[in-house]
Amino acid sequence: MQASKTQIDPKQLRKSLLTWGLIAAAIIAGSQIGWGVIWREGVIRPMLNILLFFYAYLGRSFIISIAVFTILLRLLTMPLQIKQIRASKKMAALQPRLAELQKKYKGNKERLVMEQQKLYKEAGVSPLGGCLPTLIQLPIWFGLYQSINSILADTPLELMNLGKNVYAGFRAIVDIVPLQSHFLWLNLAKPDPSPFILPVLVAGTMWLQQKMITQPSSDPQQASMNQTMQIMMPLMFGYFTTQFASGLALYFVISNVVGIVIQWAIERIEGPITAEPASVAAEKEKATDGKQVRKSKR
Amino acid sequence: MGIVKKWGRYALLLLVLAVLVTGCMPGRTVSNVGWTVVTAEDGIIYTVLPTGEVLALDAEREGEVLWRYPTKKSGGGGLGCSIVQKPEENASLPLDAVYGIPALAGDLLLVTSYDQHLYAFDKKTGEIAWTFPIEEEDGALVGGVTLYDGIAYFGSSDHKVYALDLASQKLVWEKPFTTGNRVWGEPAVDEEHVYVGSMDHYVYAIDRQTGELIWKKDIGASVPGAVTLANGILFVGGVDRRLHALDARDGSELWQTEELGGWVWGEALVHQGYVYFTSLEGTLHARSVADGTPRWRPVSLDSPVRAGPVIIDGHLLLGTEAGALFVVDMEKGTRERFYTDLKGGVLSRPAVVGKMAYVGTAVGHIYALDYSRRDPLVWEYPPPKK
Repeated sequence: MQASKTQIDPKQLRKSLLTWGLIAAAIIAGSQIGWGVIWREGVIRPMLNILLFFYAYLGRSFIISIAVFTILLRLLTMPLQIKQIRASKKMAALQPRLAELQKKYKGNKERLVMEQQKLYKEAGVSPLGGCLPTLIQLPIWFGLYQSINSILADTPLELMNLGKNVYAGFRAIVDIVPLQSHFLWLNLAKPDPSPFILPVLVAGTMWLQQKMITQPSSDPQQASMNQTMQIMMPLMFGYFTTQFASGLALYFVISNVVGIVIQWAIERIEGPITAEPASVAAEKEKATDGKQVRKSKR
Repeated sequence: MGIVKKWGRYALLLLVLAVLVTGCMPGRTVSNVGWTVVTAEDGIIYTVLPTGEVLALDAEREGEVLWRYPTKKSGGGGLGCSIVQKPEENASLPLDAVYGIPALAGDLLLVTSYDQHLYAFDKKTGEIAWTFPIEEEDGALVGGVTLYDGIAYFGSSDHKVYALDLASQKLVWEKPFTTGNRVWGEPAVDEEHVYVGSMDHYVYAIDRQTGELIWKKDIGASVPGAVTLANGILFVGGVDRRLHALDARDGSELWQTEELGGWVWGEALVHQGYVYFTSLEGTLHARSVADGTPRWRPVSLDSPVRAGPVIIDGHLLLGTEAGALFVVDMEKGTRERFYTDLKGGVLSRPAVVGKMAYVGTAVGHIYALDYSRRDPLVWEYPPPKK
């Protein structure tokens, strides 16, 4: 029996060290400075002041302010989205081979996991890679929720937060407070009074975006989960919209629409997400097996 | 199994749709959180907690609850449908957020609420004697009422100023006075005029009898808080980080401060030729009423200060957002920590009776503190668990 040598990829090592270094630095900074301060100074204040800046200099419309902010954010996170789409495509292409592996190693879970990881490594994908853009969006949503409430300042507590968070050098604030919070039938600081239009818009655009992003899966369990998520996520956000300030709901709608456009554009350039035909996958599988056999013979 | 999953999905979908269709959503009604407001009279502390509960506490008996509103706990009603009702329709509901200091008028305790109602409670029993609803859309009441000659004057988020006769519960003016934006601060009232600041950048003087405009003055910034009237001068704070002193006769500006560190929101206090006021970033200022010259250097209080100062035993008493109480020497401008073990920040003015201060915090705790004692805490509500 030969002991297998594990070769460390220096590029991978650098990447891991950098990631863990950043996480460690964030934890140390958080415990030293305080998470509240980091959240306020690193997320809330910049977001709030950027939104106010757009409001002050782009026609004093909160909708324009949110739209420009969203588009900028989406452009900034576009490399991640492209990465996510590419990863999805690779994952989709792997589905038939993953299904084959599941069939092949049905009774041997340990081996199945090993083979799956091997396959992921070969293909250069991470099954969790697609979650990154969503994870990055989460603090943005939380930050925006707080920022929008403060900016629209419908209650004294929110106005107080606005007063505390505006940068001292931002002189235009004197002219723009309180912000114009009415748009069409909406008071942007309050939930949609209709109360269906915005929830339906949020749920509809989110469903469409999810449908475009979700990778086809040959695993029936995975496919069923994807389908459930495709319905549940939009419904959940639709329900949240009935509770949240309509300004935030409009952010969701604009963000979803921009996401759909970007997704559509990327797919036009890179081609749609499709699973490899099972025959091709099977051939590849055979070829891989063949290679392995040859390797083991040597 | 597949059928179960499929129908499970549809059932969930139907449930969510049912919630949407019936409108049984708690967030649509009683949802805002206020801060604790406190007032005191005849040994009784009247308070509204951030949750909208109204309480009368016995100051002499360690804050024993004399009455509370609502008397019952809110009934859930399944998906929260029961709270689609308004408080006057359902006596088990607390009020929506309250930010203005309650006022006492004869047998009544007057409370303004964010739910667009002025509530008059019987101050002996805690029962609602009557309510006055604001019919306009977005008519949330934020500032408290100012009483003068049996009339309650108050502003509203619907941009209007109301004058309500307490005896008849009828509006005094033919129509409410309209400004260009929200009115969140208490008006100042004298024999002839009602003075009020609005978020439309203007300060208004209104005829007290007719509700007609006498004069208005653009101070160049929103006025989030109350105006103070003393010696014929109106003191008005703005989001321009300045305190403005206006001549109450015609609104002409007598002086204004330089730009300070934060918004001037809390009500100014005038005492023996000086005006004392706070700015939101956490400093206390003292200026000469005559020309605005500083009495002493601004006193830093280490944390944001929303409310203005009150006087206790010849000193200024202030609470901060960080939950500390300071007393400041009025002559020297030196500060001293009075009490720092508060749970929650102080965002409204304490009530002072003699050497006792009653302080409410943003998380709904009330403290009775004796200024003459080394250990000032006399009692707290809710009482600490033993």
